[in-house]
Amino acid sequence: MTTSDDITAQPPVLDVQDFGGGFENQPGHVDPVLHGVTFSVPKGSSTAIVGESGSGKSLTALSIMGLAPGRFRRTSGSIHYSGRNLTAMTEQELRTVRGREVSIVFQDARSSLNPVFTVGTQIADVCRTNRGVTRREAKRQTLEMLDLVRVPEARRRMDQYPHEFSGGMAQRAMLAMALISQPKLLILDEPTTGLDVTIQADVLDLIVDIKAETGMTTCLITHDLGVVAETCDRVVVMRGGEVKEIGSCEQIIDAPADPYTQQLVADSRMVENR
Amino acid sequence: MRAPIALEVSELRKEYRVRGAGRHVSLTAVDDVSFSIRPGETLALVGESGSGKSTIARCITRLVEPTAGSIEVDGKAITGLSARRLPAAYADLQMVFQDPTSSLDPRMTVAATLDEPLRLHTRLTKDERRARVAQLLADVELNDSFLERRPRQLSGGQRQRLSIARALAAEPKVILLDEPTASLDVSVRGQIIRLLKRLQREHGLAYLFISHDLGVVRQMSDRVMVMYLGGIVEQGPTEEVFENPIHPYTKALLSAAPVVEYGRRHERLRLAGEIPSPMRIPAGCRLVGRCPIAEEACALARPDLALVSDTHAVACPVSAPDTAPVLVVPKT
Repeated sequence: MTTSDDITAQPPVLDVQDFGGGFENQPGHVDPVLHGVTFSVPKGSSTAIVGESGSGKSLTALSIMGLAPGRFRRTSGSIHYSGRNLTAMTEQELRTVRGREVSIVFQDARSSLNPVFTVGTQIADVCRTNRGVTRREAKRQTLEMLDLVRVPEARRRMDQYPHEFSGGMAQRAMLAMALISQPKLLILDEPTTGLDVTIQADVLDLIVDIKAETGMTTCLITHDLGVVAETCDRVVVMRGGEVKEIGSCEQIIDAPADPYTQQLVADSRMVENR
Repeated sequence: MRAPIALEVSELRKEYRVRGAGRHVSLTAVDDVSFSIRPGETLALVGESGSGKSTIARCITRLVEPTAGSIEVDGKAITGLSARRLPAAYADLQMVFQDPTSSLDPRMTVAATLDEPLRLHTRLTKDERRARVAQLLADVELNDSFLERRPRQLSGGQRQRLSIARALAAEPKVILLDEPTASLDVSVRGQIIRLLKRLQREHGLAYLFISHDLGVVRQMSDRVMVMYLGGIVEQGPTEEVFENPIHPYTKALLSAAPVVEYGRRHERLRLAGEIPSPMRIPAGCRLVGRCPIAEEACALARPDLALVSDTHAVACPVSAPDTAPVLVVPKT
């Protein structure tokens, strides 16, 4: 593993140390999946976790949120958020962090939304749960948030159901839902995978703009180095449950040190649009 | 003499009748699209959701009935064939789909998967078929050790190789590749592209390559056709279209693709809003309402494709003003 100098001296919002674990497929026996994963997400940075299928990038993200599948067992290490050890927290304690201080947006927005409630209701519910405001205030904030994520005609759209939303609009609604509790850290798990290229570009622009406005820290999980190059300043490369390389975006793209990263950049370039 | 045409699609049209607000309305998914592909050539069909590219694929494979137009494979009409005679036509036209996990039968071994098209389309004896299966596996860079495996025992890349081998079995003239690399990791994607290119050279195959991945399109195709809301907006040699896109939609599409290059926040041409419902396609140019350079006339008449060079055609009189509309785009 190679490490470059951190591009920022900010204290980490998220600090993952020697995190390891696997799936307990048979009682008492854990098949290891993550091996000593170590990286940090400096405050205000946009850090990408990049890897192919099976690299462990999504499992790492889910572990941060305490949402890893039930069979997952941690075997080593810790995850600290703002100095607090998430891996030592009870479910109840985790709930004070999850959704309030750390939010996550998943890949397929339309399947993340509940089909039987209007989009506005679902966002307002998150607001009322996490911020304890009145129904009326929650509705006002929902409208404000839908405007922020550039959903056109937000007042009309908030009374619509998820099936009336296109994939890109649904992803904006999910962003609004994640942002309404004003999280300090936003995790984005393949947020634009499956969207058309022009819609993907719009959503990425939106994420970059909101980040610039709010100063929020983001952690983007993706397989697409093109998306990383356009949106992130730090990159963690994972493969086979291990961190292979950490560096600034510029260094990883222009001068990757690890042989796997070099191959990944070369393969991504081979089929890119130029 | 002109080289023969492997796949010829003429004035293909597909309309759907859908119930909208209590009455039936017509939805035009593909609007008079024509193109042809020669042996050894790759034509890419690019466009986003709702562009009609998948409907074209479904019409060619007769999974849906075209409303109008003709489709010929190696000079033989596919449209109008009865269901009984259709399977024979498939010997010349094969498909590789996006997701090999769902397009392969999970219960069939590799050997059985490759034997089936040989039994359907050839008169080979059992021993000859066995030899041919081994050769097909070698063609896609797999070996005999895979014969008794089932799809779940293969990796994603190996499954896609098997799908390609199955398509090759009947020795087709045309292979329709519908997003063949979309479900693969980048490292595997490159291998599959190289494999498809080698097979094309060796067998003189014509590929109709349907993809939303512009990088792969640039790698794979000789010519490209850009579609938007059921119609072709631009077509031409791939390099020319990528280097010098003319139609505003093509520019928007190409400039939206993320590039693996640090610090290059490249210039994007942005379109207003989102793609409209196919039930509400503008009467004039399909891009009206989203286009940054639209003029009054754009909303009145639908622009035809017009040549901007010998082989490059664009349906935008504003971007390419000094051109005469062409009814038939020459076959490169």
